[in-house]
Amino acid sequence: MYSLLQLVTRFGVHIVFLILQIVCFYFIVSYNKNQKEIFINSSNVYVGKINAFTAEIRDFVNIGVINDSLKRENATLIENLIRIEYLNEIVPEYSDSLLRYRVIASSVCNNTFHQKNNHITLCKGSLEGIRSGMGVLSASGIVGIVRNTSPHFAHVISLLHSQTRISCAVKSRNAYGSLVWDGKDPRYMTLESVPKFESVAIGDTVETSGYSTVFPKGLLVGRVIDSKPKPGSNNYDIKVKLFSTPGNIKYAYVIQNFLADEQNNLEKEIKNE
Amino acid sequence: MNKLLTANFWRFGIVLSLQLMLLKQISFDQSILSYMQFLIYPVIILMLPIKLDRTLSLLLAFIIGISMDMFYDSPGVHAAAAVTTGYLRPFLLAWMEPYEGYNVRESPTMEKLGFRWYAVYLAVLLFIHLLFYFSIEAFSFVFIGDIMSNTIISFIPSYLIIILGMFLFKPNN
Repeated sequence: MYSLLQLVTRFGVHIVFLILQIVCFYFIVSYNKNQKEIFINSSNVYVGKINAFTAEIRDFVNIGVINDSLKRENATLIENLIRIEYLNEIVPEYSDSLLRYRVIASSVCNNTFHQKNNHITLCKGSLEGIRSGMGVLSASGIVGIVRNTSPHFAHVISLLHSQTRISCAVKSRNAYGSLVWDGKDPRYMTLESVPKFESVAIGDTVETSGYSTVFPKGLLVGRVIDSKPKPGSNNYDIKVKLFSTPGNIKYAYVIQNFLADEQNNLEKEIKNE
Repeated sequence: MNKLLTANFWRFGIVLSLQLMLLKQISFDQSILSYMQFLIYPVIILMLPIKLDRTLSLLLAFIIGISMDMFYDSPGVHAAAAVTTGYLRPFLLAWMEPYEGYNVRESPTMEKLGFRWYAVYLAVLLFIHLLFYFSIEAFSFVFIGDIMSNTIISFIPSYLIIILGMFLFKPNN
């Protein structure tokens, strides 16, 4: 008892200080909302940080799924773009034909662009509805035409191929021609056999003409950087700088034309006659 | 002794009403100034008589803090800071004791102990008080950046106001 008294007399101030602080903290925690919340879950700031970190990891793990959904979204956007291009030509009663194109998104499994004849392999095949003769797009422009398909893969002839001929037009002019590659620089292609009487300016945009069943019209191809009349001929050779960078294709969009067979058969009949 | 009591009592009333009626109302919208709070009430604790019983001065500090809390709607926050200031004050007084010692019955005022002594005394305790107050207010050292900027930005105007008050009113007791 004596020692307790001694303790109190010796440390009285400190004990009173501690008691008062405890009283204060009791007030703080029981009456102040902010501090109460912090006190109840005193580590909530750290928990929040950990949560954010795990969310980041989760996002990273899900990045494939997110990517897929973005690809699908892009495909829908491209479909809409094609639809808009045809919108003012369609008789309203037959607006079904607006739905003649479908876009299939796929990633690229293999891609060459340094050779004379370049090829691209897509990671989707006939199981996904890809058939030979369909056009292939990338985000920045057209890329090639499907040649062969296996159930899970599709083999695409790149634009950068000696046999590629794609019907193209200079936007908002009447200049039509075939796009070919001379096998030298993967950034440039030539638009051949454009009649001399059509005027073409440097800087004009080159787009697909829509005259084949492969590509709908209005897809971007490149920009005119040079147009020279071919000596001894009645045609221009127009040098085109491509919008798509062939070495850097990660995703491709295959364009399915539902009416392609119909059109091809009809045209064949005429030829056979 | 009676004079000392009345002086402190009046000081309590005047400083508290100045704090609550005038300084509490001032706030700024600008980004960095929004941290600013004018807290001059610690001066009441600082100017309690030097030889006052330490337990009693703790209890007085607690009462001052609680009466601040009543008006600031923050039960315990100001009180905790005030009690801490009241607790640390005797240590600082002992440490800063002049060679000739203190007079038994006096308060630590600028008039008696000189501007330089008072400037240091006020700076140390006011800074501790504000630091403790803002720490308790944030209640977690995660917000150490906020606590420090609050403390520093509020310290400067509070300090200047108190020093100015000392020059104007020259309190003796």
